[in-house]
Order: sequence, then structure tokens, then C-alpha cells
Amino acid sequence: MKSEIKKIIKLFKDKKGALISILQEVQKKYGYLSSEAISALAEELKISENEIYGVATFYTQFKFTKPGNHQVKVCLGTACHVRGGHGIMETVERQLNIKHGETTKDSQFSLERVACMGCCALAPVMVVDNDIFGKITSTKVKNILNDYNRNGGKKQ
Amino acid sequence: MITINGKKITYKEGKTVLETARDAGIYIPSLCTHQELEPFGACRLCIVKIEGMQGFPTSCTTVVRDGMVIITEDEELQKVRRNVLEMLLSEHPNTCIVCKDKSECEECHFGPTKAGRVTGCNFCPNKEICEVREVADYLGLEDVRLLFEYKNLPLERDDPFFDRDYNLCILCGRCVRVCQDIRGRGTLAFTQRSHRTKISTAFDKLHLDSECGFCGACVDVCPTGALSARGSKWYGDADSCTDSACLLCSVGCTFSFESKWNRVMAAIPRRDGSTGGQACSRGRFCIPQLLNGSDRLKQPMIRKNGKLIPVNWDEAMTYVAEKLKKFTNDKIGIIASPSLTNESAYTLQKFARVALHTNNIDVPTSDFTSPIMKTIVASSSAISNEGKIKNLEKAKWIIVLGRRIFLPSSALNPSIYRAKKKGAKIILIDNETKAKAPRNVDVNLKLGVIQTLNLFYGIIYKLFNANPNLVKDCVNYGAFVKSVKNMDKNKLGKDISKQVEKITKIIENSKGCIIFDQGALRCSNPEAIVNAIMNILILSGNPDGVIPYYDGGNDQGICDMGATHQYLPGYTMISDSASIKKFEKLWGTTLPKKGKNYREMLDGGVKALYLTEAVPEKKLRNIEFLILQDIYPSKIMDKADVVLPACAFTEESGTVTSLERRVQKITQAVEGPGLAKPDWKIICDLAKKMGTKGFDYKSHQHIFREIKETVPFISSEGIWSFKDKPPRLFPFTIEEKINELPSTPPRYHYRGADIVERVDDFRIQIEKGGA
Ligand code: SF4
Ligand code: SF4
Ligand code: SF4
Ligand code: FES
Ligand code: FES
Repeated sequence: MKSEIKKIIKLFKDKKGALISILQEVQKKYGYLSSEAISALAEELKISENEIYGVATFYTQFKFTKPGNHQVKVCLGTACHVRGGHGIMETVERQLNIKHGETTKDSQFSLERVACMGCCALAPVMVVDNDIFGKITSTKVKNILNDYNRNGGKKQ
Repeated sequence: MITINGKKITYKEGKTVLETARDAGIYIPSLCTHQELEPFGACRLCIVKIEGMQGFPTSCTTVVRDGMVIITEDEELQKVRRNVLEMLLSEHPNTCIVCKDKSECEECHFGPTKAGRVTGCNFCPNKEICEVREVADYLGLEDVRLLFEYKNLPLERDDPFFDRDYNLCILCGRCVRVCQDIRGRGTLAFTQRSHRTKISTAFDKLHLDSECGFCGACVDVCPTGALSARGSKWYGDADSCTDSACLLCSVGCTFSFESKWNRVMAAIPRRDGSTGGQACSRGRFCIPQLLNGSDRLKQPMIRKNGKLIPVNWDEAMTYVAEKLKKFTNDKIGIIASPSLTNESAYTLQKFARVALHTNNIDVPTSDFTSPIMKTIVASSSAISNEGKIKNLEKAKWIIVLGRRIFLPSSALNPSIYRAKKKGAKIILIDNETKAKAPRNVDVNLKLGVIQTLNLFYGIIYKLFNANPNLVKDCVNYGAFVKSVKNMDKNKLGKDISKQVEKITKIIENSKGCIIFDQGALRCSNPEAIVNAIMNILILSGNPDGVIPYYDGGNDQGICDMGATHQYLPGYTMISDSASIKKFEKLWGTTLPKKGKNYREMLDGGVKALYLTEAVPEKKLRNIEFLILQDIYPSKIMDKADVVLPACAFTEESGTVTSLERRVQKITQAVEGPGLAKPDWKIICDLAKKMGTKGFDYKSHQHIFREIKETVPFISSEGIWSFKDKPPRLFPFTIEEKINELPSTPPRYHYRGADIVERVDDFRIQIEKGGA
């Protein structure tokens, strides 16, 4: 990992305020910012890992847990909120036994909240990987997630 | 001239409005600003009105300009401030601020009650002065109208020395700034955002795993009870505070000792000392536990029928005096603890020379101190009065020999970091091949002692040839030039030559400092290394940049006082028969011309040994009579014939001398336990029992007056220096037959008190390698 991180840092060498871009690259490569990645960055950049972590947690784009095989996003934008997005979120959380921002123990799913997917007509909306599910209900949620679990990622 | 609240006030260029107002005695509430930190502008309580400026600028971030007209207090400002404070208090437990029974409560409770969580009543560990309460009182805040939301963050109690309850945190950022900007550690950071913002380490790791040095600087600047020293938070208000200094190492940080019930309970760094209020975990947190042990030596004891039996002082003194008479002068030896005060050390060496007619006196740390003293005395050059620590902050490069100087939460670290921020290059030379370079180090060379010496020779060669005229006026110039000319550069080897190039590039044409600890001199010719260090510093124009890091609190002072086998007070050689006349006259005696050093004494060179601190018992050979004068029992006590209880540095007054040759006062904060006495008193009593004249000192000041007569360069407070003369260069030859000695572990003890053994939290810190 160290050499990879060195490479990434080289890309942004001598650029001011490059930390965010570096973090983005690291996240692109590994899918999230692990504790090891941040330590390695700290060593290379000669700032403390705590500082880096502080900066990174300020931005919602960064993740600190390993993403699952399937990324579940539940929309909580205005339209979805009005049409019960929170209920959907709760169902998903219960079903997967994690909170949003976390990944299941078996690394199958990670869960996130998003604000508006641009298809409000379908509200409430849930997205798994690149598949959009509209007008969903609690019952549908269970089926959808089960299908993903069983088919190893293929659409139902 | 500026105007504040209608009053004309003079101001200093570059100061902020807040500072100017404060200097003029005008109070402006403020919570995030701190005298040692850059302004931050987070709390918005310090807002003022300034004519011609829009809105309410924060006074802590606004620099004064001539003619400013400022209002610090009116109904409008107070209203905004009250709103700000209410908002802040809607997330900070606040019953102690708005409770109706507050004043009665404060009278009845002498301090905080032990409670799991601070919910805002009288349970906060923040003592006496709480800055939040101060501001609330000033604003007359009586109620918080917003709904209170308890953050419900977990209490953090799994690290050594201090607890953290971020439910009390007001996010002023002082701890973050002190840790990053002053200490250069960066253990703490603002993490998350909006209402979830909090202070934490990366991934909420333990401080033990986050480069924390446990220096306590964050605890000291926190305006709330969020950060609190675990060992001292529950005893309430102190009975008294005594300004003094730490003697656990030679940096000599200054502290105010808080005492209660005749015990030192806490050590709060004083900002007026040479380290400017920064200290290390030992001084900041360990002193109470270290010195308050119930097993402190409290009574003199003498061995009767194989057992140590408590006796009174008179009996003990009579016994020792009688016994010592049985040995010839040459067979008696004295070990001077590097933790004695100057006064005690002076009295002890005088006792050796006048009462016992022997020069057998030395410090246990003489492997390190002796070569340094030799070189420094020889090089006695113009030394500035500002002190080495200030000098360090101005350095353009700093060479550190020995990683330990970085590792401890070391009170030198802030100075090194300050220099680094101004652009200094930090070079660490050590031989720990596996260890990573600390973050603030620019170059880390992995070299053994001998290789380092060769590196230095190479540097000397280059520096000298680049500018030979610079040192033309130095003593020994001719001989030095010769040795440089005779130097065979090929002997250095290819690798070293490369490093020489690299380091010379960094240090040429600029002034720097070299810090080294005992590990740096572990070889058969330690003097060569000290000489080389001095040569480099003189060649770069800063002889004052030599900073030996002694482990003992008063190693420097003990040597100044002549408690070593080769020097009398003030570095008069004992072999210098012309100079010793002065002492013979003053003390009314004739002086022996030779003495044994530490090793020789322990190794069978003497039969009677007087220890003022425990030494490793295994090292003793053929000792027939052993006196131990210490503060705690130790293994060696099994061999002792007499045990004399001494006072610790919080229990006596006197002076000590730090590594920068700063003479500092230490002041008695509490009484010694039982019958314990300051060392100089014990020594004087013993001398008198033996019928020796010249030991009728009435006080430690009395002794110091005599010290001044014998050590002309010393003054009772401040840096001492020799008279002006040009620096001395040291001719050298590259030796081939020089051996590296195994390194010895650092000395973390104060006399018989082992800090690692006695203070659990310190042991945990050391085990993590983060001391
Ligand atoms: S104790 Fe010192 S190093 Fe540790 S967090 Fe506080 S300021 Fe930083
Ligand atoms: S812990 Fe204390 S110093 Fe640090 S931000 Fe909170 S209140 Fe300020
Ligand atoms: S650095 Fe030395 S003098 Fe300062 S507090 Fe620590 S042990 Fe005491
Ligand atoms: S609010 Fe959910 S898709 Fe727009
Ligand atoms: S003191 Fe000025 S904003 Fe906090």
C-alpha cells in the first residue's frame, strides 16, 4: 500500500492544498480511507494522521469503512422524505443490521443516505449499485435485498 | 493613541484589540483565545464595536490601528454575547452556571464530588476558576432559554494521566492548537462537521496510539473541565501554591506546586520559565505519586545485629562519625546524587575535602558529565545571557544525537518545533535502524557513535576550509589548523564522505545547535566527541549552541559545585596547586591532590562509602561501611549500615542549575516526612559531630554566599557564563582504536525513586515507547 500511496502523492507534488485531491485518489483506489491508508499518508506528508482524519471527516464524500459488494443508497431528499423515505431507511437498517454509513459484517452491503437522485416522481427511491428502485415499500425492500444476496449481484 | 470606552489608551504596534484592552485592564470576555496561541476567532464572545467598521468585529483577531475608537461593552453587545453564550451552553452542561442555589453550593462543597459523569452540577473537575463561569458571571446570564442537548459522548478514561469528557467541550480549539502549533504533535483535531463536530484523534484511537506525549499542555489550556488530570482533580482547592522547579531532568521546567494536607497534589507549569510553560509528562503528572509514597524514609536507622533499627538523629550522627574515623581518608568515598541542590552539593564536597580530607567524590553520571565539563571548561567562551533554549529556537539547523530527546514528551520539543517552523532543518543521528524517523525530522542518519565522530571530522574539515579566517582569533588556532591539514580524508570511508557532503550543505554558513544525550558519548574516548561538537559549533559561529541533555536534574550544578573528583568549586583543577591555595585558605585546611572516580570507588577503591542516592547494588565491591542517604528504601538498603532520610526537592529550598546553566530557585512547598532533613543539614550535623569547623550554616542562603566566593561566575538566579574570551578550538586526530560501548537505558529516576516503577501511568507510556 505504501508504494501506491507514494505514487498518488507524487501526482500532486508541490501543489498547494492538494490533500483533498490526494484523499479522493486514495478513496478511488481503495474504495474508502482505511486507518492504514491514513497512517501511510501521514508518514509521507509529514503531518499527523489525526490532522488528516480531521480534514477528511469534514467532507461527507469520504468513507472510512470498507464498502460492501453492493452499495445501497436510500434517498432522503425532499420528495422521498415526504413519501416515507425515513421508513424505508429504517427498514433497510433493520434488515441489514447496520446503520447508514456502515458495512455489514459479511461485507455484502454498505448503506448510505443520499439527498435526491433526480427521479422524484418515483419517490421513495432506493438505489442498489446502479439499479434504481422506485415507489418502494418495506416489503419490496426485503425482496430486493434478498435477491441481491442470493444472486451475488445480478438483478432480480 | 486609541480610544477604548471613551478612555485614551496607548498601544503597542502589532497587538490585537483584545490584548491592548487587557493590558489596559479592560475586561473583554473571551473563550477561544489564549496568550500562547494564535487567535482563532471561534467563540465570538470577544466582539466589540469599532467606529467605521461594520458589524461586531472579534477583538482577538483585529489588530489595533492608530485612532481606533472602540466600545467593549454596551447593551447591544452584551445581548449578542448572551445569545452566543446561551447557544454554547445549550450543549454544555450548565446547571452549575444557572442554578439558583449556586452561591450556597459553592460555599458548602469544597471541591468536586466523584461522579461518573459531569451533568453540570458541582461535579465538574474544573477547579476554582472556570473560564466559562467567569464569562457567564460577567454577562449576568441567569437562564438558558434553549433546550439543552446532552451530547452523550463516551467518557475517555483509558489513557494515562488525564481523562477526557468531551460532553463539556465548547470546541474552542485551544487543545488542538497547542498540540499542533506549540508541541508539534498533532494528536488532536476537529473531526466531523456541523453539530457532530468534536475533538478527537483519528478513528477515535487511544492517545497512546496517536503520538500523544502526555505533556499535558492541552489540559492546561482547556477552559472547561473537558480535560482533567486524573491524579489531581478530586482534592478540591489547594491549601497553597509554591513557585518552584522540576528536578526530574535537567531541562528545569518551572512549576507551581499545589499542595494540600502537606502533600504536593499537582504541578502546574509556570509560564515565566525558560520553557515558557511547556513541560513533560514526568514533571506535569508524576511528581505527586513519585514523592508521596507511604514508604518514604522517615527515620534514621543503623544496623544492629544485622537489622536496621530506627534511632534518633543524634545517635545516628554519633555512630557515623565514630565509624568513619576508623577508615583512612583514602579509603572513604562519597557519591553525589545529581539530584542534590547546589547548596547540598557544595556542602557535600566541602565535607569530603575538609572533614574527610579526600577527593574521592563523584557523580554516578560521570561517564557523561566528565568529558563535557572538561571540554566546556576548556572552551570557556563568551556565552550569551539569553540561554540555550532561546538560542535553540533561533537555530537554522539542529543536530540531535539520540532519539530520546524527541521521544519524551520532552520539554525541548516545543523549542525544536518553533525553530523548525521558522525554517530550521532538523537532523537526527541515531542507530535505531528499525525505528521510523519522527515526523519533524528532516534528515535521519543511522550511524553508530564512531561513525558519527567520523562524520563530524569530515564536517569540520569542510567548514574550516570553506572559511578558515572565521576562527583565526580562537585559542589553539595553530594546532587546530595543523590537525585539519594532517587529516587523512580517506580514512572516513565513502559512505561517511557522502553524508558529510549532505550535512555540510545544510549547516554551512548558518548558526545551529547540537543536542546530545548520554548515548551519544558511549565510546572509549567520549571527549573526542564533545570536542568535535564544540569545533563544529565554533566553526559555525555559535559556541553557545552546545546542549547536553543530562538525565539528572542538577548534573550541571553538581559539577559547578565541585562535587566531582577532578574539580573544586568553579572548575579549579585539584591538581592545580597554585589555584587551590585560595580554597585551602578559605577552608583552613590542606587539600589532597588526587581522587577516585565513580567507577573506581564502587569497584573496590574504597572501604567506606557514603551514598546520597542508591546505586545498583551489584556494582559494589568490598565495601565495609555503607551509608545511604535517600528518600526511599531500595535494594541497596540490605547492604547499608546506616540509612539517613533526606528531603525531596519539594520539601526544601535552594538553587539548582539547568542544562542551559540557568540557576533557578526551588522553594519548599511541603514538610518532609517524619524526621527527614535537607541534605545539607544532615551533612553539616555530621561534620560538626566530627569536630570539623566551617559548617555552621544557618540557611541555604548562607551557603550560597560562600558558593559565590568560590564560584565567581555564578549568580543566585539566571544564566551563568565565563568571562569573555575567544572560543577554544580542539585539535584532533582520527583515531582508529576507539571502541563503541553498549548503550545504557535512560535514567528515569529521582534519587532512589524509580519513576517507571512508582508511577503506573508513566510505565504504560514508556512501554508504548511514547515517553
Ligand atoms: S498531552 Fe500533549 S501531546 Fe498529548 S494531546 Fe495533549 S498537548 Fe497533545
Ligand atoms: S477540550 Fe477543552 S480546550 Fe479542547 S476544544 Fe474542548 S473546551 Fe477547548
Ligand atoms: S522536561 Fe525535565 S524538568 Fe521539565 S518537567 Fe520533564 S522532567 Fe521535569
Ligand atoms: S428526493 Fe428522492 S429522488 Fe428526489
Ligand atoms: S476570543 Fe475572540 S472569538 Fe473567541
